[in-house]
Amino acid sequence: MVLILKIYMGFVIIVMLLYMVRHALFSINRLFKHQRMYYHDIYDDDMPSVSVLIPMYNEEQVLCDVMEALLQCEYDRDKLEIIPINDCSVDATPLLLDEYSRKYPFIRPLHRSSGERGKPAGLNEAMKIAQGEIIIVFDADYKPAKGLIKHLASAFLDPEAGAVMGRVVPYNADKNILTKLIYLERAGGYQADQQARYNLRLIPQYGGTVGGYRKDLMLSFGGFNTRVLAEDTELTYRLYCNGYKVLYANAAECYEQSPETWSVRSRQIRRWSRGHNSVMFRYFIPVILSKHMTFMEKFDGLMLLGIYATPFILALGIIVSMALFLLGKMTILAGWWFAFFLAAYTNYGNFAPFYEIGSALQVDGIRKNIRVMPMMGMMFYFYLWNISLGFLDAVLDRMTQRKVSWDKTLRFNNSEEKR
Amino acid sequence: MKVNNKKQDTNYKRKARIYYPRTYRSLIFNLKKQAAFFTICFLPCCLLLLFYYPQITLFIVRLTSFCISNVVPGTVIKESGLISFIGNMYYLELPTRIPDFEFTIINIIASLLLLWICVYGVRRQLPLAIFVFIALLIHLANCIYFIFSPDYFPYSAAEYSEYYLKMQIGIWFCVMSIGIFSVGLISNAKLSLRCFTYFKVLAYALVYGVFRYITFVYMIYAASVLYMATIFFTLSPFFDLLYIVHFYSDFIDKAIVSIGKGDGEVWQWY
Repeated sequence: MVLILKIYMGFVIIVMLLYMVRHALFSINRLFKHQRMYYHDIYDDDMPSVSVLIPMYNEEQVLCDVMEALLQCEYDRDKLEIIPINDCSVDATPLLLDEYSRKYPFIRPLHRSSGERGKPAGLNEAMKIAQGEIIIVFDADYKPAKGLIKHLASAFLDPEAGAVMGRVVPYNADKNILTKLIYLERAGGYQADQQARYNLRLIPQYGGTVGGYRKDLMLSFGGFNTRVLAEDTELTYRLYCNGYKVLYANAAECYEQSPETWSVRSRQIRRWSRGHNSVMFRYFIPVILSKHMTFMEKFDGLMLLGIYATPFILALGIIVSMALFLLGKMTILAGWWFAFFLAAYTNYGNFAPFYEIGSALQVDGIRKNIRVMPMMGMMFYFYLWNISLGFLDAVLDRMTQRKVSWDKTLRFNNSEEKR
Repeated sequence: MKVNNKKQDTNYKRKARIYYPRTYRSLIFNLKKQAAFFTICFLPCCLLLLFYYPQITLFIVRLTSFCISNVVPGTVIKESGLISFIGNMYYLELPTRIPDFEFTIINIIASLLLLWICVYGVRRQLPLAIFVFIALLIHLANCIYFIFSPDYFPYSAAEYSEYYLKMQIGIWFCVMSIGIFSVGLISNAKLSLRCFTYFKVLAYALVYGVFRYITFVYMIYAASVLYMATIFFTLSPFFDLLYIVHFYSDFIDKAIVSIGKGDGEVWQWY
């Protein structure tokens, strides 16, 4: 019994140290290595036609912001259409969308009142009526910058590109401690982590918003799987398993409204964990067996798949170490227990460890919100708890084959605009 | 059409170099600076701790003994093996106080009450509530152990004292390693700023470790070994990382200003 517990603790330490080394390498790469450029210097008269899809459910508070920002975007109007997907909204969303549609013919709302609900189902239906070669997706709380659509679409001049992902920056960062911490996480996650993965030709992740993909390719895959909450992660792995790449456009910044209360963040994180882990269960073996991925892509792909499972592994590790303590094995804990905790904390204080956030902030040259960084210690427990619950949800989904339902992130209408 | 070059030159200031935006900039790796940091900061501190931990632990133990001698009687300085070719470390042996049944029951009731407060209402989503919740669960498990088999609790206060100091030495090595990586390797700020930050963190770690040892030893004696698990699992390494990140954030704040003025000497745009 004790031997099994010790073996498990050894396994936890190896997993945590692997993630720590991975993040350390990403930080070094982002800070000191030459950066792999994006396609933003390409100027082509023959840009692809684009359909912008915006899934919406009761978005009257933020709808006008995203629509007005999209109207300011610089892209050939003959090659652009905007399809807001009204997914059974019961507030003023349909009325507002129809008003926009009357004023601007290239805005063609899709009103859904029946059928399967949720983002993947809505995107599938919208893709059928979309005329663009490229689909670009925004969430309703996002505010794209002027050049963003052109920036993202230029990646598809590369035939190998299956999808592209832009950088997400919260605009309500100054609201409270939570939004400040999310701002730091986003900085580390995109400026350092995603860019390093792009530099190293590993697996930058398509994040489901502020990104695009080829419509024909997606339709040939049969559209999004409506039983998966993390349709973005699934798309990333589908593309790689079929020989396509995901590109990361670091300069394609888009502004999002991050959750302003802990309960909203808790639900969001739990949903992400549930979705991501269900993708892990589906793609762990296909990634290993894939003939289209390099060894390093496979390795990074597996690490990325496991990123929402490790907090659960760690939580079990804490329980196991408590058991070892009560069994009188504290001597073995005293030596390396701290290394285990250190690795755990540096990895899961947040989605990007503190040194990765520090690296990103140095590159960005932004001192804002740095002082709240120690508060990420508390986020460690917050994520440990909520991600573990999401993991258990995914396990139950897998075991019972129950149907998952989409839980929309609550919007806040009192955020001050910071751009 | 003839272009008046002279006029153009006076009207427009040509940039000697056009930089890419900060999105794709990166720091120039300065091997000399990094080597200097390693030699000045990491190496001496690491060797000092490695070869002088017997003296350091002896100092801590004597200081602790001096501080708590009035309230904790019967303390004895003992030796324990750590690295054979360097020498033994020292720890303080003190009497073990086993909690009685009533005290354990009071702790269980208090823990359950606090657990209910943590999970009741909207506060259950707060990070602090989750932290306290986990700490209370650990404490509750330990209390239940003492209800059913108090005689079989595997540790004495002296053993805790010994393991704590072993862990503390491990923590100091880890603080040095984190420092060399985060402040030394992955930054290009001024050497003086990096050295100052590094020594500041180490000094804090040393003082904090000693202060915590004195506090914990007193707590274990005064409130019994019932609190050993909670102290060990929730308060020990977690709070070390809090101050490490605090000093790191302070460092990054200054480093951004420092490297922001560096332009071509610090940054590369290709």
